This record gives sequence, C-alpha cells and structure tokens, in this order.
Amino acid sequence: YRGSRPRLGFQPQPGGPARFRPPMAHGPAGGGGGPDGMGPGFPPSGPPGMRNFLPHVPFDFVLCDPQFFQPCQEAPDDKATNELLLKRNTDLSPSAEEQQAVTGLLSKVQAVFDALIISPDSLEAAQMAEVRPVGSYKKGTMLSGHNVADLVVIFKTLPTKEAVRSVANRVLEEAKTDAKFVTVSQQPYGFQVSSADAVVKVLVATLPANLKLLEPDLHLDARIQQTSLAAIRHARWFEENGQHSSVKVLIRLLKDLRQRFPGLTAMSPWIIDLLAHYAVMQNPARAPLPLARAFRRVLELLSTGLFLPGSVGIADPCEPGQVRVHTALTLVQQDEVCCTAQTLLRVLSHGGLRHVLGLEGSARIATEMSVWRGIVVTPSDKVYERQDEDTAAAATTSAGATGEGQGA
Amino acid sequence: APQTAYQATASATGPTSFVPPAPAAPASFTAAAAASVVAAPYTYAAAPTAYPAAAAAAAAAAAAAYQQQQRPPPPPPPAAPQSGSGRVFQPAWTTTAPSYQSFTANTATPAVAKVAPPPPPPPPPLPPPKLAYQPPAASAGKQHQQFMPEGFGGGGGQNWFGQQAPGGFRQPHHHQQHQHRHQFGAGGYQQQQRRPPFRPGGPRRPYNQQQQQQKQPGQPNLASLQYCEVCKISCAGPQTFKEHLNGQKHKKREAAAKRQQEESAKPNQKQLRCELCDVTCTGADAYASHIRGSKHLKTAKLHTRLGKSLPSTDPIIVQGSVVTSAAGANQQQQQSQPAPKQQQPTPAVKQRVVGAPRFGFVPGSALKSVASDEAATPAAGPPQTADSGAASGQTAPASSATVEQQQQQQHVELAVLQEREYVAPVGSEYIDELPNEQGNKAVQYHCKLCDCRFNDPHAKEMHLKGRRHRLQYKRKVDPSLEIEVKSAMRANKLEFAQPIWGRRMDPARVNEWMQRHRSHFNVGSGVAARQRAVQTESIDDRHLAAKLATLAQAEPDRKALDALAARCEQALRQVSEQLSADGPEQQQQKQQLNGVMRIGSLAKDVTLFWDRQCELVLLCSAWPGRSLVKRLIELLPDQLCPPDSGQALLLTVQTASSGDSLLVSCSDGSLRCCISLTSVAVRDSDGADSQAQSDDLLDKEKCLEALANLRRAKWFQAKASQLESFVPVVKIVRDFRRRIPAWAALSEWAAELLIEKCISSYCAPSTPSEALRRVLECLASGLLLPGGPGLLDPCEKSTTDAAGALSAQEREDLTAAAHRAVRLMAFRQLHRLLDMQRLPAAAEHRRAGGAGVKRSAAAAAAADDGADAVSGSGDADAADASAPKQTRRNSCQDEADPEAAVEAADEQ
Repeated sequence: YRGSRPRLGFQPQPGGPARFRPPMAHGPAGGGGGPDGMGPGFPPSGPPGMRNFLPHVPFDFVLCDPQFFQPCQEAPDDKATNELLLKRNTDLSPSAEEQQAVTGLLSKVQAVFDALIISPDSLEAAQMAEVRPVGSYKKGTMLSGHNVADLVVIFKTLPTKEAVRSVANRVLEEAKTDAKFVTVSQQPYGFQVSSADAVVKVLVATLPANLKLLEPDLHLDARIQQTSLAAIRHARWFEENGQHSSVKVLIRLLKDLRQRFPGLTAMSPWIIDLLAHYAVMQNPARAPLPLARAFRRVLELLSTGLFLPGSVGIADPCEPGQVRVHTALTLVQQDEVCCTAQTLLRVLSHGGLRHVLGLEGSARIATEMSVWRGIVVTPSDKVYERQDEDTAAAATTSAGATGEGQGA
Repeated sequence: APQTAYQATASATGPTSFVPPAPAAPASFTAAAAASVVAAPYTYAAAPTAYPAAAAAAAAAAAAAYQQQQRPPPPPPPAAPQSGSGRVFQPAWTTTAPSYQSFTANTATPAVAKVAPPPPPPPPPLPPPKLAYQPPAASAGKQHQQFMPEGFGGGGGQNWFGQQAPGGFRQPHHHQQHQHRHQFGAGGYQQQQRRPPFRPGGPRRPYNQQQQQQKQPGQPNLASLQYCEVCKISCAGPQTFKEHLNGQKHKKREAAAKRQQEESAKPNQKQLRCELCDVTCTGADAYASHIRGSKHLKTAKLHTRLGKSLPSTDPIIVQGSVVTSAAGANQQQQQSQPAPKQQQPTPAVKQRVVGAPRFGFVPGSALKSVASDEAATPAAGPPQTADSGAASGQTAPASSATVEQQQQQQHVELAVLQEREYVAPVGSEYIDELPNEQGNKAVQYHCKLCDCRFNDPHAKEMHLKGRRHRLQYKRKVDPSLEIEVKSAMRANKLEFAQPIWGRRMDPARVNEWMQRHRSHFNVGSGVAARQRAVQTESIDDRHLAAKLATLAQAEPDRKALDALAARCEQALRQVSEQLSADGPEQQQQKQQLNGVMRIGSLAKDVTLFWDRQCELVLLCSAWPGRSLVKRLIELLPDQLCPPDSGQALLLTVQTASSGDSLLVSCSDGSLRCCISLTSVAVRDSDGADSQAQSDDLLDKEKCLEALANLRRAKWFQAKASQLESFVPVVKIVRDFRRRIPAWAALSEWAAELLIEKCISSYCAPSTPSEALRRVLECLASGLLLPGGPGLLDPCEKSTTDAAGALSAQEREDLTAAAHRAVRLMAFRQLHRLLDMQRLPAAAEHRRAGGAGVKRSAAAAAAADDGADAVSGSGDADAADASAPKQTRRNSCQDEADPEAAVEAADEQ
C-alpha cells in the first residue's frame, strides 16, 4: 500500500464519512486496527488476514494504475454517446407541469406539518419534531411519469396507528381548503396524499431514542420507521455528495434501465444512487468522469461482479460498520443483476447504445440472442443454483448453532 | 625479491605510477613507505637463505637501514616457554588455517608453527628449494593445462548458449574483457613459475633454521611467544593466549574468517587486500593507510620475529564473488573446444597484481582462477606424475615470454583502479593546526567542518578524502561537489524499487499484531481458531490446487523434454563452433550463430501434461537463409547423436513444413523440438535489401515472430516469473485455452500479458484464486471489447495490441465466457469452470482432516457464504422496491463477523 500506486479507492470521501476500509487486511499497514468504523464491542477491523471474510476487490479499469492498461487505440469519440445520453435524460426528466404539481402538493402538506410543529397544542394525538423532504424529489432525480415526493415526519410521541390517522385527517382537512381532488390513504409507512397529478408519501417515524419502546401491534412497524429515518440520512448524504449533474443524470438513466430490464429491478434507488456516485466520482483524480465513460463504467462494474457475493461492493456511507449495500439483494437477484449488466455491456460495446437506452428496440436484448453488425451477442445465463443456497444456509445455521454452543 | 624490487622502482619512477600523478608529495611518500615496509622481508630474506636476491640487494639494504631507523626495537621477550602450549594452539590453527597446515606438511616443518621450547637441535639440512617446490609446480602445471581450454577455448560455452538463462546472448565487449582477465590469470601463474626463490607458500624454513636466524644478538627470546594465526597477534604467555582464544575478539574474527569462506568480496567492487594482516581495504588510500598503520607494522614485526615470511605489501586485488565449482569446471572442460572468439568471463576473478610470494593463500577464500589454483596446488599434497610434469614443462616456456608484458598490464590495471578511486582532497583550508596542549612539538589538526581532531598528518589526509568530510563539505561549502553513492545505498534503493506488493507478508508481523490486540480477541482459543482459519486456504484455492495437480506434467516427461532441449542446445553450440572454425573469414562472418534460447512453455516452466514439444530460437549474426537451414540439417545429426555416444534415443532432424525452421524429433515420435532461426539483422534491414535476396532468405514475418518470442521469453523471466500466483494462473488459463473454445482464440502471449497486468496492478499479494478471479474480471469488464483499452504490448516499440489478432466475434465470445466464469467463481462453482468434481466444503474438509476445529470452519463458511445471504438495508424510496426488508440492526450483525457477536456474548 505504501507504494506509489493509488490504493484502490479507499481513501475516505472528502466531506463524507469514511466509506471504505482497506478490504485486503493483509498487513498492519492495511488492516490497521482500531475501531475504524466499527461500532463499540467489535474487535478491531481485523489483524492482517485474520478476519475470516476478506472481501474481494473487483477489477476496475478506472482505479487501476494507468500504466497497466493504457489504451492501444485512440479512445473513440464520446461526443455522440454523450449527446445521446443527455437526450435520453431530457426525455426522462419530469416536465415543468409535473414538477409544479408535485411541488405544489408537497408545499401544502409541508405547510400543514410546519403549522403543527409550531403550535403543538392544535393536535392532541401526536407531537411532531420535524419534517423533511427525502427521496428522489429532494435529490432532484425524479423520473417523468413518477410524480411522487417523499416526506418524513418525525414524531416526538410514539406513532400509534390512531395518531397517524388523526394526523392524516388533519392534513386532508387543510389540503381540501384549496385543492379539491385530494385523497388521503393510510399506508404501512404512514399515509399518502394524492392529488390528480401528484402524490406525496408521508413517512412517519419517531425519534431514534423511542424505537425501543415500539410495540408491533400498537404502533407503526419499527423496521419501516427505521428505513424512513435512513432515508433522511440518505438525503443528507446526497445533498453533500451527489450534486454533480453527471451523477443526477446517471441516476435517472439507471432508474430507467431498472424499469425496463427486469433483471435490474432488484437494485433499490439507494443502491442506484451509490452506484452512480461511485461510477462518476470514484477515481484516482477525484474529478467527475465524463458521462459516457461513467455510464459504461456502471455496466463494467456490475459485470465484473461488484455486486456479487464476496465482493467488496459499495459500503453504505450512512450505516455504521461495513454494510455492503448489495447484501440486501438475494443471491438470485445478485446473479440476475450481474447477468443483465453483462449482456448489456456487450450489446453496448457492439454498438447497441440506442437499444440499451430504450430509444429503439425492446428489452428483450437482455434475454435473447441478438446480432449487432454481424456479431452475435449471446445473453449471459444464470449460474446460481438453488442447492448451493441450501448448503450455504446449512453452513450458516450450523455456524450459528456452534457459536451459541460456544457462547453458552 | 626481484619482483618486489621491480615493483618498488616501477611505482616510484615508471609511467604507471603507484599513486595518480596529482599530488606529488603523497606519491613520493607512498613510495618511501612501501620501501620501508618491503624492507621487512628483505632483512629476513637476505641474511640466512641461499635465495638469490642479488638484483635487489642494494635497495634492500638501504630499505633495511631505513626501517631500522624508523622502528623502535622489538619489545622485550615474553615469559618463559610452556610445555604443552602447542596443544592449546593447535585447534585454532587447524580449523582456521588449513592452507597453512598443509603447506607445512609439504615443506617438512613441524605442524605446530608456534615456537617450541628452546633447545635448538643441530640444523637439519635445508631441503633444496627446487625439490620442495617442484612437485607442486608440476601439479600446478597440470591444473593450468586443464584450465587453459576453459579460459581460451571458449570454455564459457556452457553458459554461452544460455542453457538456462535467457540473457545468454553475448556482447562482443564481454569477450574482450574476459580475455584480459585470463591473460592476467595466466600471467600470475607464470610469474610464480619463473621465480624459484619464493615458494608459493612463502619461503618458510624449518623450525631450527628459524631459531638460528633469530638467535641473533639483540633478538628477543621468542620461545614463549604464543601466536594466534587468525588474529595475527602474539600473546605474552599461555594464559593470555588461552584467554585470547576464548575472547570475543578472537571468536568474532574466527567467525568472520569462516563467513568469508562462504561469501567473498562484494561483487562489482574491487578491493585491495593485505595478505599479511588479512585485511581488505576498499580503496588505494585506505590500503596505503593500513600499510602505514601501527597494526600492520606490528603484525609485520611479529611475523619477522616468528620467522614467518612476509608477503609483499603490494595489494592484491580482489573482485567478484562467484565461486566456480569444480564440477562446473569439469563439465566445461569436457564440452569446450578451442573457439577463441567465444569466451565467457569466468565469474571468479581474483588477480594478483604482482607475483610476490604469499603466505599460503587467502585463508578461507574459495575463489579460483588460474592463478589462485596454482597457488593452492602446492597444498594439495602428493607429487604429480611425470606426465603432468612434462605438461608443465611445455607450458612454462611458452607463457614465460609474455610475463613481462603481463606485469605491465597488471600495473596498468592497478593504476587505473587507483586513479578511478582517487579523490582530490577538498577543504584543506578548513583544517586548523593546533599546538599540542602538552606543549611539545607534535601538532593536532582540527577539521572545522566536521569538528574532529587528528594527531597524525596521514589521518588528516585520509579525512580530507573521506566520505564524511566530503559530505560535510558539500553541505556547508560547495554543493556542486560530487560524491559517489555508496554501493550499499544503491543496493538498498534497488531493493525498495521493487514493488512492495511483490513481497510476502511476514507471518511474524502478523503474530505481533495479534499479540498487541489480544484484548480484543478476548479468549486464546478464539485467537487460535482464527489463526487456523486463516492458515487454511480458501475452497477456491483448494480447487485450483487440485486442478493443477491433475494438469501437472509427470516429472519423467518434463525431464525428457528438458533433456531434449539441452541436447539440441549443445548440438547447436557445437555446430556453431564447426561453422566458425571452418570456412573462410567472410563465410564465417556470415554464418555465425550467436546464441540459442528456449521459448515457449518449457522456458517459462509452465509445461502441462500434454506438452510434447519444446521450442528454441537460434539467433544468427546475419539474416538466416535456406542454405543455412540445409547446412544445419547436415551438421546437426552428427552432433545430436554422435555414433559413439551410445544415446538410446535416435533423433531425426528435418525442416518444418514451411521450410523455415528445424524440427528435431525423437525416433519414437514422442517429443519434438522446434528450432526457428532468426537474426537481429532482420529487424534492422530495410525493405529493398530483403527484396534483393529474398529467394534464399527465410520469411521475414517468421523471423520477426521468433525475435518477438525471444523478447517475450526475456520479459517473462524479468517481470512475470517472480509475481506471486502468476505461474499457477498461467497454467490454469492454458487449460482453459485448450478446453474451452472461446478461450482458444486468445494467444499464449496475450494470456500471459493479461495475467501479468492483472496481478501486478493489484494492490496486495494475491492467492491463485484471487488472481484468477481478477483476470476473469478484467476480461469481463470489457478489456477486449470494442471501446475497451486492449492489451498494450510492452515488447514492441510501436503501440501494439497483443490481442489484436482476435476477431470481433472471438472477442465477444471470450468476454461472454469470462462473464460466466466470473459469476461461477463468485457463486462458489469454480469446479464447474475447471471441469472437475466439487471438493468438500471447508468444514467437511477439516473434519476429514481430523483437525476438528468445527467452530472456526463453520464460521469461515458462514462468513464466506452467509455474509452474502439475505440481509437488508432500508430506504424510503425502497418502499416501492420489492426486496425483502430487515432491520438495519440485523443487517449489521449479519455483516459483521459472526464470531464477533459470539465473543461479545462471552464478555457479557
């Protein structure tokens, strides 16, 4: 590590929490030690090679020292690609009317909550601490035709289902005064305010300190509340790190890919945010990559197995410890995502950019054999086998059992 | 004596002056000093012996007088002699100075050189020097004859064709250098031959004669002297001597002497050696200083008193560190034939500058050249046969003619060495002369730059030339002063220039780390379990190891292939000698074969079980033509299978299908060796030239390809072969290329280059499975697809894609194959990729092995597989995603090492 070569992108993000720990804990220099990022109670991040699980760092051209993979030919002109990507981005961005509709509805709902926060006595059922817009609306990565804004409301009190209902009713009353076709429906996460052309999801959560006090059948689900709280962190992180326009454009393009290609559905919006940010910003120069390069890089990264088991993946910057975001996917999903990206990468390389972007053709290119300039692209097939999962599960169980035995 | 006299005069007056001409004063001083020290042997040699010293008599006398003046009388004799002290002495003697012992046996002196109790018996007749000397000389002569062909007859030929080393191509200037050295070597030998007065082991007289000689008036009583051969000191009595033998200093020296036996002087650094004190100096200045110094004078005095011979004060240049083994020499002798143009520098180089008599030979140094072998031979023992005596008689006159000339050359070399080392003293103006505090005449010098003091003008001078002073001068006075980089520092730099990831992690450091953080690991058993878990390799590595075991070539097959290649190389070398021996000068120039080198899998040591062919490239001096191929086909069979050699395996030589290369195949058709011809001239020639002669010359493309193969083989040796995990992965990929159609398109060179790039661009040392996964990932990320970077070839001047020959469809197929392989590896299905049976999981494996560390094994499996099993992290937007959700807390625990949780529970 001490050599001149850049370490593979594990420097902490400027302005962000330390995102990466050197994954190959092979030496005191790398593994370091000390509770970097680990919560209390955990051993140091592993003596050299002592942790049983060492994540694998997938290959990445961008992070490689340029001396190793100098291009043999002149880099192809990215201008056309860039234009195409930007054009697609414009298509995907919400129109001004859509934007206005969401903003209007959201500001009304937010105004209600602001009033409730200022005068807590006006509502008996609940006390509110704060209200925050989150999600794609807040991040500026909304897609056209998906006019949904998210709002997190944090209760000082415990959010019983009745309290949520009464808050929803209050919002409905207030909203109806100046908009006619507003409806409110209660949801597991809180409630949803819908007008004719826009939706505001109100995610209800309580203060983190109260989470322990929640009771499953009385209050809203604790897990859902936790995701709502996490959404606040995500929005804050994005505000700090994701403001580059390439990142936003790329997120929109990837969300579009995810909508069109079933294999990519498993990727959550948060994973897409992180992936897009990683593809654009994670490079030795710390300068944003051009859009065309970043787009290809996303497919390259997924193809090399960034989100496959054992890979270092992308560590969640908003979670304590080393949570690799792709572990939220099942093994089947990981295989699917990788498969699809691999096929798309090959299609893209052989001149199928317009098909990948959805400007032409259909999504079947990801699953069926296709011909590009006389070259046959065979889609990758899934390799994951169920029986392996069984053995893996068995191993996990036995590990747990043995571990408990030892602990007792 | 004539030799030394010659040396003394030459150094004082001759054109090859001992000290470079710049400062006049030091030069004259050195000469005087040399004379004064040289005087020691003279006083000794002139008086009692019958050896003629006529030529130097006057000079010797003068020098002796000078020395008498200079030196105080010897110290009073030590205490009375002790009986039995010889026993004390013997061990040290025999262990550390075997040469001396054997020498004494030769000259019929008692084995104990320590001066025995006094009663001097009547002097036995002095053995005639000739007689005592001759037998060893005869044997030396034989030795010499044996070595001559090695030196002059292209004896380096064994290495010449580079059997192992691909860098075996010869540069012309090497030959010349080599020739020089051997002339020197032979010269040294010749000198010894010619000078009867000094036996090679030194003119030692039998004991009683020494007694006689030293019982001169004014000589101290030597009887009680206890002399330590290793440290070259005397002790006052047996008690002191015993203490000395048990002392630190003596043991250190002994160890150093032993060490020296194994490794000798640093390579690439000439050192000057004082035989008498067994001291090696790095420069002429240091040597001169040593000769002047009290230690040397003391030793010289002691030796004089003991009646030992004093070697000349002329330095012996020691250089290089490689030791030629006797076996190697024999082999060379068998194989070599006279081929004056082609010599290999003998690695061991030790030169005697002047053929002064020496005291035994360098203790412990195993260096051998012609000269030192000759010197060693007298110790070898029994007289040689008349046959060898005759041989020596033949060689002696022939070579004595050139002795004078060679001496000249040696002086030149010494002068050159000194000149190169010579540094002008700088900053003498910063030296203050201080009056001595005691108020007597002696002055003290003070260097203001370095803040140090000396009493001695010599020391001052040495300081002015010294490295420390020069560094200070550079820092404080003149930054432009150039200071030579220390060789040790250079070596350090080189070491650090090596990529750090190439080094292995030291397990000791790992353990140390473990100790420091022991508290974190809570229980000892946990630590042990972890260590065991780490020590066991991953399941992927076990799969790879198992696969490699099935792919490996059987040892007999490999050896047979190796032997075939070696035979071809040897035959080619002999053919090359034939070609250069016959034929007129013109022809010779044209058809010279410059070298042969292995390429392909055998050279890289990545042969697998199906390999039946080895490849050689024959490098010619000119563009090879079909006529040369024909000639080789005529000549090779005789050399490959000499009629009388009794080789079991018949080899046939034929042209390959294209007619451009030779194919040597075994009669049973099992093994083949393909020899392609090329020349550097092919690359340099322009198009017109090649057009003119194209009817005879071999195909240019083929020749260029062979040249490229040479470069690649060299590249492989230089860069790739030391990479960790490189060779296993190359073997695995060779298997892919043979088995999987999509991989077959990838050329061997492209595959190796790809693997090298992948491994060396990794930030940490990698196991084979990690390296393989990285290679697959590299392909999977579109390296070869349109728009990817491609594989830049480091062995070509122009920008070349090593995988440029692949068609678009092949690239696509290969990438698709890599895509699948990446996922197979990630999902623990490497066995499918390798086409083998799945090995039992780590836990089962361990259980089968009986180690019974269930916990760590299971934990390892859990961490490998389970950590990637379902766990969740939340998101607000994910409300519309269908992925299953879990709490963050859960995901956190899943993610962390399962043992950590267990240990936390333990703590509670």
